[in-house]
Amino acid sequence: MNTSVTVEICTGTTCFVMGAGHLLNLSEELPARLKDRVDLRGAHCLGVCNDPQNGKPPFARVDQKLLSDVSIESIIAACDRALADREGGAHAI
Amino acid sequence: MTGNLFKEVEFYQVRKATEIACGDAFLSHRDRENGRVVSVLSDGLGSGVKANILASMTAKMALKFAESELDMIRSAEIMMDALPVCAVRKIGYATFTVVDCRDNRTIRIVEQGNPGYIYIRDGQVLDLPFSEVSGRHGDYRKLRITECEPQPEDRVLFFTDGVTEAGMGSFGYKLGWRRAGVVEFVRRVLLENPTISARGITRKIVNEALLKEPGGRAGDDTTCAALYLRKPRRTLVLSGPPFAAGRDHEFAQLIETFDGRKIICGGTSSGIIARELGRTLHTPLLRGRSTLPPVSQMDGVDLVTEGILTLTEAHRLLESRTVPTETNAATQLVELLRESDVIELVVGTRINEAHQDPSLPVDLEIRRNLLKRMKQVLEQDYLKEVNIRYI
Repeated sequence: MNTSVTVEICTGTTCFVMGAGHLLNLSEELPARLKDRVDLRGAHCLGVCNDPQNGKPPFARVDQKLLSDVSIESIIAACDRALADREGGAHAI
Repeated sequence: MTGNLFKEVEFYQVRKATEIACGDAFLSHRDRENGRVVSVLSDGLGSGVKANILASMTAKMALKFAESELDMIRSAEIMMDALPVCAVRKIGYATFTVVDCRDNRTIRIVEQGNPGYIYIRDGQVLDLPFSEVSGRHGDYRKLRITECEPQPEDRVLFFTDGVTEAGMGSFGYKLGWRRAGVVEFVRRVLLENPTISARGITRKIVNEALLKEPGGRAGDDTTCAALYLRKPRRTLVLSGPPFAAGRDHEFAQLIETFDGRKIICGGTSSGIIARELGRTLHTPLLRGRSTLPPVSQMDGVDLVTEGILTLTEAHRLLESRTVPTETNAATQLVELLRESDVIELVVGTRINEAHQDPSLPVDLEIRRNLLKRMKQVLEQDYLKEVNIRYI
């Protein structure tokens, strides 16, 4: 079972001015339960901001799933969900 | 034959530690029509604001005279009239060195009062024949005039006495670093790095001079300038996605075919190039807070940055000549641009609509305008040859 979740923060212009620079410090803000379980990466511009259907910047991907208008809190919540889904799946087997 | 040579002109200076203005002035002008480059370095009497004004006036006059076709000796006499000998100290108000490089066939150096220039060919210092001309005033001031025919890779280094007198009176340098010390140092630098840029060598010389000073604090205004005739260092900057998506491939191919350094400024554009050329883009996570998005990596490209924010900051650094305190994408971009002679800007003009959202917390400039201003500052303040085209 893979126990870490991948978080990619878009570092394109729009995301950066909307706060992605701050999100790159996510690792310092992680609660103890997520420490060592989050693989944080800067992502090259994801190229999604120019289509309003994708939502609002800043964007991030948590385990390949695109999230819009992200904050430290919403990324942490998404990491919790992703890990719970996996563990839930593991129990079912 | 020196037909395709680029004339790199740069200077570096540190003002006297106790002053708020530098009393040395450097000015340079490149004539785009005929390729002539005239540079003037002047050292004003004393230091601080007064010296700054004297030096700036002298440099400006010398530059204007040198550009006009008026005979240099006659010009120098007019300048010496305008800036007479100080009644108290009996010394000239300002010294100057003019380095005039015309049509790749002659370099003419006219000196009055500054330490002698250093002419370098093949790593060796040349002693060129010169003539001396006295002014009509019969005072001590003499013009020293040297003319020579330059060859590729030749350099002329010229500096104010802050360099040669660095460390004067100290134990190791009772008479200062002196011109002979500078010559020795330059030989060593060239042995290590034979193709060092004019910008690089002027910095090294001034920094070495400061090392001789007590506490590293400049005891006098210290300026070094250099002219370097070299094969042009070419740099390609791609920024912005092409207006027509159908031209993405053509755009990306520019990276493949260009002979020189390559830079991409823009998230979307680098994405396009990675896709079209089948290369991967790596964006390492930045540690600590930064005011700019991080640099990415792509094989065969010297620098990959975000677009508008990085370019805006790089433009600000270039325009204000700010010496950056941190290393980020913009400082790396400025570094590469300043080390280039010929810069090709290829600007994709497709607009990213998300950038026009009025709710963004900062103004994002239109790329085309920003790069136009970038071209302007690189040409006017840094004497680069810049070509811009839109795709």
